[in-house]
Amino acid sequence: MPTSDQIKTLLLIKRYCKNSIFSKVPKPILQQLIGQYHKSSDEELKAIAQLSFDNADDKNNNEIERQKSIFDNNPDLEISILLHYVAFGNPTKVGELLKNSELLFKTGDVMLPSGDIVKCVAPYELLLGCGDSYEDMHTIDLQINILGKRLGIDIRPSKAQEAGGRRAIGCYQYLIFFPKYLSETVYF
Amino acid sequence: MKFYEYQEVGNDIYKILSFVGCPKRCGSFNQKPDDFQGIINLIVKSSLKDVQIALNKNFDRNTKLNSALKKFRQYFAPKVFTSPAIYFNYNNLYTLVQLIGDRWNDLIVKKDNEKCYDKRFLVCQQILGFVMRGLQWCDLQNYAEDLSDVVKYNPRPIARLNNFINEDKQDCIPISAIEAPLTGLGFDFWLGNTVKK
Repeated sequence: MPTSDQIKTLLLIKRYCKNSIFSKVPKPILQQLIGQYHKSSDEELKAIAQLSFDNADDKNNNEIERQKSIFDNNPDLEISILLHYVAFGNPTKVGELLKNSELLFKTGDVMLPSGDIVKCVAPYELLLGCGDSYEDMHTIDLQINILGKRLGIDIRPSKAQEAGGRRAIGCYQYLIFFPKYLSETVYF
Repeated sequence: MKFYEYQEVGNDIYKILSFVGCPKRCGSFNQKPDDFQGIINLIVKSSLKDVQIALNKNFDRNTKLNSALKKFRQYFAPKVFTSPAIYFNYNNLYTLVQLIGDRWNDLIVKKDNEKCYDKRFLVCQQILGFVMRGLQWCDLQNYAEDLSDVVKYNPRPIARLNNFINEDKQDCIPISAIEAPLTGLGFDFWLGNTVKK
């Protein structure tokens, strides 16, 4: 059984750290954990426990709604998944996710298979950095071309791309959308 | 892994360069290579006992070679990138393979009138292999498929394999730094002629 100090800590974390794992502990489990301490003489523990139980139902409902909204609407999560698939070379999943072409302009953090962490990176920039210049990652190129047409910008493939085989990414395509990288030109 | 069955491990070492398309990329990225002379010289000068300690991964033993290898691993440890960059330095791999090729014959020790290849294994496994831990997934996929023809002659697209199977075809090998902190690539093997599809 947990000690009274451990229960106190758990209740405090549950109440004040909303994103912690303890904030999602269901009410019955909490009742079982602290039930025996309700009769104890520890006034502080009683007070904390009372506070936690008062708002438990509302909090649980809010938590469920919050989680739903995360998985349904959160673009940050989608960009993280997209970046992961770009880093781990999965063009099928990249193609599926890029049906939402707005993701090309989002940035996020990703861990590479080498253990390196890349912060605040866009999908195409990650593709360039990884040196993944094979044809099946063309979906990103295609999306950029479609966007270019919508914006009225003529984006032509580079000579190497026209020649076929391994594509050489003309980084000017990328720089149209991300001019801040002009000083960091990368040629394949 | 049965490394010690090989008498000559370096025959295919230059093939590594082709699977990442290394010469082409080195020329285009303008990356500066690091200096590997010091660590290779230290391994050449070290005693066979120290080399075997490092090769058996007894990193707790206090030897000069162990501390140098520790510094080397710290230098090539995973980094945090906050600005645009090419995440792997292909020139490092190119320079290192050339250097190992130059010192190839110095990495043999005679023991009991027989040639001992432990220094070669140490250099390949823990120096070359550890640098290879920084390779990106597309390069490793390329290697898993043994696609020197894809890199060189462009006849077909990459198959995007994610399984790396050892010679006995028994186990998948932990090849990424996330999966294997002190084992696998960079500690037990390198991407040479010992890993095949």
